[in-house]
Amino acid sequence: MKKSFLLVALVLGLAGCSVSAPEATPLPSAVPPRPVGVVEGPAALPSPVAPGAVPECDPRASLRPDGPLPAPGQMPAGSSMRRIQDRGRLIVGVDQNAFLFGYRNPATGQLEGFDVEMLRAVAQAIFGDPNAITYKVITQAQRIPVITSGEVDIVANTMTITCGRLQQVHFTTVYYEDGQQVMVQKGSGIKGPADLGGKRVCASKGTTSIAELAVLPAKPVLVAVDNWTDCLVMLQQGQIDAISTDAGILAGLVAQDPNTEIVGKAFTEEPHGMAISKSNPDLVRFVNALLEKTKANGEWAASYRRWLETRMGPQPPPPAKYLP
Amino acid sequence: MPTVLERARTVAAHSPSRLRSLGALTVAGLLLLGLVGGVTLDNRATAARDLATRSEPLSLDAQELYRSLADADATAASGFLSGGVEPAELRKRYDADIARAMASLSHATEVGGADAAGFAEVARNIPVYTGLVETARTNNRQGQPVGAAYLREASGLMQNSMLPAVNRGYQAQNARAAADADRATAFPWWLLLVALVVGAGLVLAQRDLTRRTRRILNPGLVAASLAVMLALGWALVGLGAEAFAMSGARAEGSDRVAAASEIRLIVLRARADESLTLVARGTGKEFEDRFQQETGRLTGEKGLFHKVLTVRHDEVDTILHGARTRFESWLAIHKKVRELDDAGDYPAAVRLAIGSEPTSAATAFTALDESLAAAIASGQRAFTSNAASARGAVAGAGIGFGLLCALGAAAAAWGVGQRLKEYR
Repeated sequence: MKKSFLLVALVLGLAGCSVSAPEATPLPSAVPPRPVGVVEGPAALPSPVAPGAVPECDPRASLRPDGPLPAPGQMPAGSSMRRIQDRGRLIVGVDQNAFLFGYRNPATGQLEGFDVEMLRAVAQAIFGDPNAITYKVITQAQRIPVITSGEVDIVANTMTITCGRLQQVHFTTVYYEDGQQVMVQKGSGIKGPADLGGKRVCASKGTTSIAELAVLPAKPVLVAVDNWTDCLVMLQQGQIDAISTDAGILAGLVAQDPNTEIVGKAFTEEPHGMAISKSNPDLVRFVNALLEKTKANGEWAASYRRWLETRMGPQPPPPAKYLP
Repeated sequence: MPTVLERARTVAAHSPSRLRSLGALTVAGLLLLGLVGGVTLDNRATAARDLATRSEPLSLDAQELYRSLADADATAASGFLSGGVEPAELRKRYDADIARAMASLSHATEVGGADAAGFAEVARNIPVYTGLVETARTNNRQGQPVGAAYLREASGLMQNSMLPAVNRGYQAQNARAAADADRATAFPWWLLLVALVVGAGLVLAQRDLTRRTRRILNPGLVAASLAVMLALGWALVGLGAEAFAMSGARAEGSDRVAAASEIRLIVLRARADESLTLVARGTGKEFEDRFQQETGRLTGEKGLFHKVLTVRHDEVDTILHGARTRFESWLAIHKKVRELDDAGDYPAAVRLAIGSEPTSAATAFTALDESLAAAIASGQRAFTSNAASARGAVAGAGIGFGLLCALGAAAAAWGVGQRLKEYR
C-alpha cells in the first residue's frame, strides 16, 4: 500500500516535471485563416453538365433592336422599360470585388468600373439620369438566380455568354471580348495552363473559368471562392499557386499586387454580355440598340480607355451579331 | 426471575467497563461531529471564496472577452462602410476592444479557466485576426479592393472560430460558477444528521449516568453539551447568514449581471448584422432577418427586458429601464436605415447607420451599450458586496466548530474519568 503510494507520487512528480520541461510541450501549429466559403477539390465544381445536354448555338447572337431608341423618360407604354421608368430606379446586379469591372472604391465607397459604366448608360437611356440606379452586390454564383427570380433587371458582372446560360437567361450583344489566362507570383516557374498539373488553382464559384480549369488536361487542384479578391488573398498568403480567369479580371488583381504576373496565352474565348430575364425580351432589344449607339458614338471607347486600355491594350468595340 | 440477559446488563451497568465504553462513545461522537461540522463549514467558506474570487470573475472575463472581440469585429465592419480612412473614433474603439480582449484573456489564463483549450485557441488567433485587419486597412488606404477580402477573411475567423471558442469557455465558466453557488448554499444534511445522533447520544449518556450514579449532572458532560450547543448555534447563524447573503448575491448580483450581459451580447450581434446588411449592399437579407430575430428576443411580454425588469426596483433596474428606452430609439433609427436602403438611397442609409450625428444609429447604439455596461457594473458591485458578507459569515467557522467539539470531547472524557475514579 505504502509502496504503491510512493510509486504514484513518483509518477505524478515526473509528470509534473515533464510538463514544465520545454521539449515535452506540444508546439501549437499555426492554422492559416481562410476566406469564408472556400471549397476545394472536386466539390469546387457544382453539378457538371453532361455533354450534349446543351444544344449548339452562337453565343454572340442576340435579339435585334426594333427601331431607334425612345427618348429618355418616354418609354413606350406596356414595355419593361416603362415599368422600370415608373418605378423610378433601375435595379442592377454587380460585383463589388472585380477591380476595373465592378468594384467598391475603398476611398469613396462608390461602385465603379467598366461593367458599372455600362449600366449607368442604361439608366441614362431610360431616365436621362445615370444615377437612377439601385445596386445589388452579387457574387458570380448569384448572377443567374437574381435574374430568374426577378430581383434585378440587369446583371453586368464579367459574365461570359454561353449556350448553357442562354437556356436560363437572355444576353445582350457582346460588350467586351476576353479570354482565360493564368496569374501567378513572379518567379513561380509556372509558364501557362500546361504547368498547372497538381497545382492549387483558384477561381470564383459558378464561373466558366472554374469549369474550364476542371477540363484542363494538366489536372490542377481546384479551389473555389465567393469573390475574385478572395483568390488574391489566398495567393498572397501562399495558400494557392495560381489564379485563372478572364485576362481583364486578372489584370485588375495584378494591379493590386506588383509581385504577381499573368503568364501564358489565352486558352478560351470569353465574350461578355449583360444578362436579362427571359420574360423581358423588349429590354434586351432596348439595351442592344443602346450598345449599338454607344459603340458608334465613341462612348464605349471612352469607357474602355478609362478602365481597360492601359492594361489590356487597344480593342475595337465588339461587333453586334443578331439572331436571324 | 431475571433472565440471563438482564443479569448481564445489571452487571455491566455497574461495571467500570460499561462506563468506559460510554465515555469512549461520547468522545468519538463529539469528535465525529467536530469533523463533519468543521468540514461542512470549511467547504462552504471555500465555495463562497471560489465563487467570489474565481468562477464569477472568470465568467466576467469570458463575457468581456466575447463582448470586446465581437465589438472589434462590428467596429471593423463599420470602418469598412465609412469609406476612405476610417473615422478616428472607430479606430479608437477597435483598439480599445483589442486591448480589453487581451486584458481579459490574460487575466482568465492567469486564474485558470474551466476551458483552457478554448482560451488557448483564442489567444493563438487574436494576432492572426489583428494582422488580417491591418492588412485590410493598408489595402483600403491604397484604394485596393482586396482590402475588403482581407476584412471578410478576418471576420470569418472571428465569427466561425474565435467567438464560438470564447462562447464555449463562457458556458463552461458559467456552469462552474453555478456549481460553486450550489455548493455554497447546499443544505448541510450530513451535519444535521450527525448533530441529531450525537445530541441524542449526549442526552442518553447524561440520563444513564444520572440513573446509575444518583448524581443529577455530570459536569464534564454538561460542559460538552454546552460546547456542542455553542458550536451548532454558531453553525446555524453562520450558515443562515451565508445562505441569505449568497441568495442576495445571486438575485441582486450574478443573475442580473448574466441577464444584462445576455442582452448586451444580443444587441451587439444585432448591431453587427445592421452593418453587414449594408456591407452586403442589396443582398444582405439574411443579416436583416437575423437582426429582427435577435432584437425580437428582447421586446414584448416574453422579451428579456420584460423578464429582467419585473423583479425588483434597485439601481440595476433603473439603469435597465433607461437601456430599454435607448434600445427602442435605436430600433426606430434602424427602421429608418432600412427604409432608406430599400428605397435605393444607399449613401444616406450608410450615413444614418454609422455617422457620428446625435440622430445616427451608431450614437443610439453606443448609448445603449454604455447603459448596459453600467447595469453590469452595478450588478457586479451588488454581487461582490453580498459575496463578501457571505464569506464573512462562515469565515473561520469550520475551525471554530471543530475546536469547540474537541473541547467538548475533552470535557466529556474528563467528566466520565471522574466517575471512573470512583471505582478504584
